[in-house]
Amino acid sequence: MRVLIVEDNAELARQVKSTLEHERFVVDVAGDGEDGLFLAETEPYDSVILDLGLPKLDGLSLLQRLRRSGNEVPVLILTSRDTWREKVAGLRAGADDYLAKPFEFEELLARLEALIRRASGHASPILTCCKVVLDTTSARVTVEGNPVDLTALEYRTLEYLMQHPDKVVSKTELTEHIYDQDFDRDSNVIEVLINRLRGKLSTDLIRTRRGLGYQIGGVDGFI
Amino acid sequence: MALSNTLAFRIITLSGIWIFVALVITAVMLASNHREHTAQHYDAHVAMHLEELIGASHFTGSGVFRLAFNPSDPRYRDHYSGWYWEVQQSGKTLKRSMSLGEDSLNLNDTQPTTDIVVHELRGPQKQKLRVHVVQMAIEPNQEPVVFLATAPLGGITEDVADYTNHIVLGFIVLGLGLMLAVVLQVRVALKPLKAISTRISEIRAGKASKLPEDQLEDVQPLVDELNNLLDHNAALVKRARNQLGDLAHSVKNPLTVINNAAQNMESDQKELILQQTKDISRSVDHYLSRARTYGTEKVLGSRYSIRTATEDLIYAMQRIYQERDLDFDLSPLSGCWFKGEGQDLEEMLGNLLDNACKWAKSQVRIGCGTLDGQLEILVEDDGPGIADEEYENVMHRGSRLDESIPGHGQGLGIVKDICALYGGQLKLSRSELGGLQAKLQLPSA
Repeated sequence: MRVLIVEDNAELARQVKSTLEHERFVVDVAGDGEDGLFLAETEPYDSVILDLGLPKLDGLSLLQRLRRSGNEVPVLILTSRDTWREKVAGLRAGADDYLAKPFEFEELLARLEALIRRASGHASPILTCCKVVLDTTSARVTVEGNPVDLTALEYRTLEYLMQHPDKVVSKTELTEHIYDQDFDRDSNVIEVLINRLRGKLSTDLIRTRRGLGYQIGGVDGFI
Repeated sequence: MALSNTLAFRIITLSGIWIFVALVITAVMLASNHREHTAQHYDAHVAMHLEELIGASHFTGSGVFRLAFNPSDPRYRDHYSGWYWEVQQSGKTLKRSMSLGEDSLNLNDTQPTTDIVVHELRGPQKQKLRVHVVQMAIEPNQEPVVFLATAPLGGITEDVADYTNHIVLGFIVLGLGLMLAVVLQVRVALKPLKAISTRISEIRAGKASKLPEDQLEDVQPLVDELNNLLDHNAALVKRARNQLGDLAHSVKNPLTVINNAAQNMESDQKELILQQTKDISRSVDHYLSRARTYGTEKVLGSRYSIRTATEDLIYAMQRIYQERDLDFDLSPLSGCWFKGEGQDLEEMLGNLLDNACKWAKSQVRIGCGTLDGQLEILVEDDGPGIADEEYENVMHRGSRLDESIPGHGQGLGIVKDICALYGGQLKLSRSELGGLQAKLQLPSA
């Protein structure tokens, strides 16, 4: 899952980035409102963590402009401005959740995962397909109840595909969501990852739709 | 406000006193003039008859007094009419009017002179008379003769009283008319001030934000000053709140960084730092929320719709807790107003609703009403509720009964503090829905 952090406090942004990366998220950081808006409009993020007090363009204006352009990426406001009037204004501007500073990382992660889950239409943090079960809160993957060790990249790939069941996900889309913006998108690493996942989980879990991309589950396979 | 302390009362009272005094003085002067005029009229009449009498007087060759004709006024023939004439010589009556009958006019100690003198004396039947007296020698060989002619003083008094009655009645009507004019004038003149006063009440009640600009030239400076004051007041509050927001931002960001850094530490100091940052965070929240709170119902424009505040907050709760699919029951909230600043109401309601949403199974109910002149706002949920003995504890800042539910344990403490600043109180009890019922009691709008 790819997340954008728009935060002007460099140290705080670094901490959040580091924690999210540890939790297998792909993270980009913007230090001001203008950069944040540019990245949010040009890159396909699964969620945006947005501070309100930003230089150049404040968080609320950024959010309003993003929503006006039709971008529906889930946005979590992370700010020191914690009055209910500010929270209501933020949510009315199009935010999906609001977390006041100082915060605990567990809560930030829980809310972020809930946001991403809701956006992909899942009510439960546990994703299931055939015999494969993925718990997004503990990042555990099991096949018929047996735990499977996945690398961070393998996990991100599997999670993204399971978050979008039945959908044919192109290689480009997959790349955009599991790698940060500096990744060389022409490499064939995606094919390698898919093959490794098939080997560790099940050969028929991920289907290749020639010329289109990859599809997980299927109408009859996904629970 | 006492009636005697109003501008209208003062103007009307002072005008009333002035009109009364002026009318009384005028009435007295007019009555006095009229009396003088009437007396002159009577005197002229009597003097004319006296001259008639003198002109008609003569002595015959045998020394007998004769009148060539009697004065023509028929009132001299009416018995005791007060209109008398008499001719005396050496204290004896030579001739008298028929109206005098057998009586005589007694000049008492007054000595007649050759000039006409006017006296007042008591006549027959103790009538008050105005008498003209003159002594004349008609024949050189005769003793001087005294001529007397009278008019009744009662006639003058009656005329004057009649006239006075008329002018008093006229002046009462005039006085009432003037007072009515004053009242109307005061009402018309004070209308702009009354309109300003009404608008200030509306501003105070939160129904308006400024005074209307199109005023009379005399009142416009006052309106401009009041509007400037309102703008200044609003700007001060806004600036203070913005500065508090900036302060929160500048304090909480480093605090978050320190807190997050400490969580990754291995040393023994980790818990100490985490505890200290937690304490600092609580203190910052506590004092920021107190500083943000207007905390008084005695400010201009301080009325806020509870329905509006609740609808905004419900929107926020539905976004934040959308996975929970909670049912919000807004029992009739229309017509409920909070007497105070909107943001304070939102802080209280927001924290109560947030708390209710965290614990509710499926339902949150919000209601309001007035009881004994107090506004009561209820927020209830169908969650597990809390034990009776915990009610006091959970209203202390930083108190959390369940650490697994996210939060800082500040919510109910903040509500209690803001409520207290408004002279109200927060009461917790068990709800009919099974969970917690939080009741805010505040001064009614």
